[in-house]
Amino acid sequence: MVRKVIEIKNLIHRYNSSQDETVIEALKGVDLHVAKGEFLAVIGHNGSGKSTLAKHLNALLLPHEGSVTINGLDTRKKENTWAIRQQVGMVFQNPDNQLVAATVEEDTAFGPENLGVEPVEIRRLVDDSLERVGLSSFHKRAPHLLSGGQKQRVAIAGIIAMRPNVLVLDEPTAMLDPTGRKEVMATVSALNKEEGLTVVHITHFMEEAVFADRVLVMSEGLVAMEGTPREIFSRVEEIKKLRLDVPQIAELNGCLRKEGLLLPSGILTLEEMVVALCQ
Amino acid sequence: MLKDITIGQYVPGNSLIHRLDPRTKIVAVFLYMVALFSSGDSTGYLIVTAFTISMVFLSKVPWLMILKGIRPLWIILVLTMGLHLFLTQGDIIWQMGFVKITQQGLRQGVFMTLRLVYLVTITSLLTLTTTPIALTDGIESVLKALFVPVAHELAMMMTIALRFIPTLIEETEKIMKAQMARGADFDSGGIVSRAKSLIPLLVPLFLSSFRRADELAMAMEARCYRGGENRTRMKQLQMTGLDYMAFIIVFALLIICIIIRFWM
Amino acid sequence: MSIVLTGVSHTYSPNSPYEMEAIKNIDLDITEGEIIGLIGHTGSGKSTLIQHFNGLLKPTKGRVLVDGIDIGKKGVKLKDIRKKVGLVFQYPEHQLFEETVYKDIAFGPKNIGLDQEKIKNRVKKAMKMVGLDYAKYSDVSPFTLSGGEKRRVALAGVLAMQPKYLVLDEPTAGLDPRGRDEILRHVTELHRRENITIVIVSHSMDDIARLVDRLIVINQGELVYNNSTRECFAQYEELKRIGLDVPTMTALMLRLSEKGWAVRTDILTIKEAKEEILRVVRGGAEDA
Repeated sequence: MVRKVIEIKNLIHRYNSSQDETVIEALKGVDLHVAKGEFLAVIGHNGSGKSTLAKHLNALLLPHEGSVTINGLDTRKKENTWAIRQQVGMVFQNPDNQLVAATVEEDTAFGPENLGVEPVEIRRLVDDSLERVGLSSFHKRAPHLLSGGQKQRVAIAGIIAMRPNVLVLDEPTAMLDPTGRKEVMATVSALNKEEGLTVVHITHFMEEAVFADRVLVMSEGLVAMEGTPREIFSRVEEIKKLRLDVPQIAELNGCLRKEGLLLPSGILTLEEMVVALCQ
Repeated sequence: MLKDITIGQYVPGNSLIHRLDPRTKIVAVFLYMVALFSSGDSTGYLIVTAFTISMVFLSKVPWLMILKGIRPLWIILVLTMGLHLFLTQGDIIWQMGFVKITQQGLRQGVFMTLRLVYLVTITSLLTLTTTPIALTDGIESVLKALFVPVAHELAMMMTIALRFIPTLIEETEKIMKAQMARGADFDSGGIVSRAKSLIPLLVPLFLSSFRRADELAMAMEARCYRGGENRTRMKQLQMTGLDYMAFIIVFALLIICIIIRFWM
Repeated sequence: MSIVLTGVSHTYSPNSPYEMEAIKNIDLDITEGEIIGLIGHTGSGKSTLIQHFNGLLKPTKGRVLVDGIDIGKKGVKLKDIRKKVGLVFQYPEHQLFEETVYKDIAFGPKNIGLDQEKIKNRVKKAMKMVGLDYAKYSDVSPFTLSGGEKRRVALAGVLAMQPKYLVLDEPTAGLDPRGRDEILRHVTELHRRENITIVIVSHSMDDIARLVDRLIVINQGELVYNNSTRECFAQYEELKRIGLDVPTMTALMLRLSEKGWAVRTDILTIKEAKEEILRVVRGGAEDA
């Protein structure tokens, strides 16, 4: 049996609207399981509840109804909070607003320092983590002198230095240029494939969701669609109705199939399209 | 423009002073101050002067940098000199009309001015030879040793300030340009209209700082930050023989100054 | 009329250890009525270049003429230049500061000394251009709006200056697909209906491909291409060498042509790609 790292049951989250007294339900009963080593992509437009969902994964928010369990630890129990935050690392959208210290290595050390790890061991964790994100030579650099992609990789290094089981990324590429986006995605996907780190990646770049094991589409606080990228992105009409993008190749595939071309459904990448057309 | 401001102007180097533990330097600066303030006569000042000059030499920091640090103080220095020179009663050595200079006034004026100059010299020497990060660690550790209850919080605030000052400077420039593109004028008009013209700059800057603070707090919490308790540090400050030497020398200075002041 | 750059270079902190030549010897014409894309890496000099269009930066070498006025000349009123050339920075919503949407959009017109009545007309018009309902939004605090709406308020703030030229630095950065489509739709409308000349900086080749007629490519401070969009993307090898992508559909056609398909490789959009593939497939079927 596959081990579930994350188990969410009927999760409801409410907050008060900033404009008036009304209560808004950001999450209206979400059920979700994530298996160990899985790469899950969560897509949905702003306000669909995907960021709220992310913050429930490491007890930054607590359920109003339902439950979130991380490796058997219930987030509602106060004594579990720190264990959960150690296990579930979070990378946020703005690369400038999550680095704490004035040098790369000091920032990477921040998490382990908070956990009270021995100094010698912290040194080892920091060096190792920076190596894994490919930033060893930058260890003395000040964060503001790095590119956006590099800053996000420092943020990732700071998380993996805490030896987590799950990496949650809340739109980590939204503010990056294409180069930075590729850097971050390559780093994340290596951590997932080579080291078996469970990844929950929230994004609105569909090309990034293509490489996930599973895609979750959120809309209005609910899970609207769920499946492999192939299943999801061959449902072009439904995705468009949710005002989301379909990867361009998938959209072209939809158009060509409509015209009666005998192409398989679920083509996602350029290479797949070339192969299919050349058959 | 704004980028020319450098905070905690550190001059990289590997001199004896650079290599001292930041704690040693912080404590030494305090001991030096006590020595400086207990000196009251020419012998005392001669010793302190010799000590100060040799420290600057040892640090290999260019004299120009030290002078730069003193320059902004020139008004205060002139005032100090002037007030003591002209207002101290005693044996008159020069007089013109009601303006007179006394021997005691001259002495006091020179001593007080030197005191200020040395004070600035030695504290700038501290920041010029210590990286801001090492300085923060040093301050945290010294405050903790003195059982100051908010030592960790203060140090954390300094760390975050160091991290964010360049980011905020960049942001200020960006917002300024964006408002200038909408016809804002930051350079002309009287004081009132100039102050008013800052509103379109300051409001967005404050708002973004709050947003940053909010997001940073969230990111810190997510990384298990819960204050200074049970927290360890990767970098451990390490005292070496050099530090003990430095302590002996500064203590010697202090004792000599006190002896001269009270027993001679 | 037009914006004309001749031999423009800009060096930051000249004669210091931090001296950096951000753009080098750039010759460029932006003619009224055009819609132009500007692409290049982060740090290629794009931001430095666009700040020359409205005199926020002055060339350290060369000359910039905006409708015939030399921005580098002493005594030139930069406010007049900024009325003509609107510049929308990245994340423009970060410059909002007033209590209401109306007041924020009115900031620019007020700075150029218009009277209340004129200001009101301009605010109304600008809001209409970005699709914000005047009655619904004018008295609302901009800070309660969604990210996409805030950005449109900021855009309206620049449009209220009634510029002839509008320069947008990555107007879709950080927006979700819905917000992105909305902004791009308004930008196209500004070009078509209001006849505003547009220069748009973007990292998304797919967006660029379906929006602009002409493309300016800049790399390490130098102008590499300045040509029609189709012809620029046809130089895919050169673009690749400087680390830029081509639109997905162009890339697909290139791969198919490598595989021996007789397809045109100057395809930019999905629609064009579909037609081209169908043409070849069906044409091929007829031949067989």
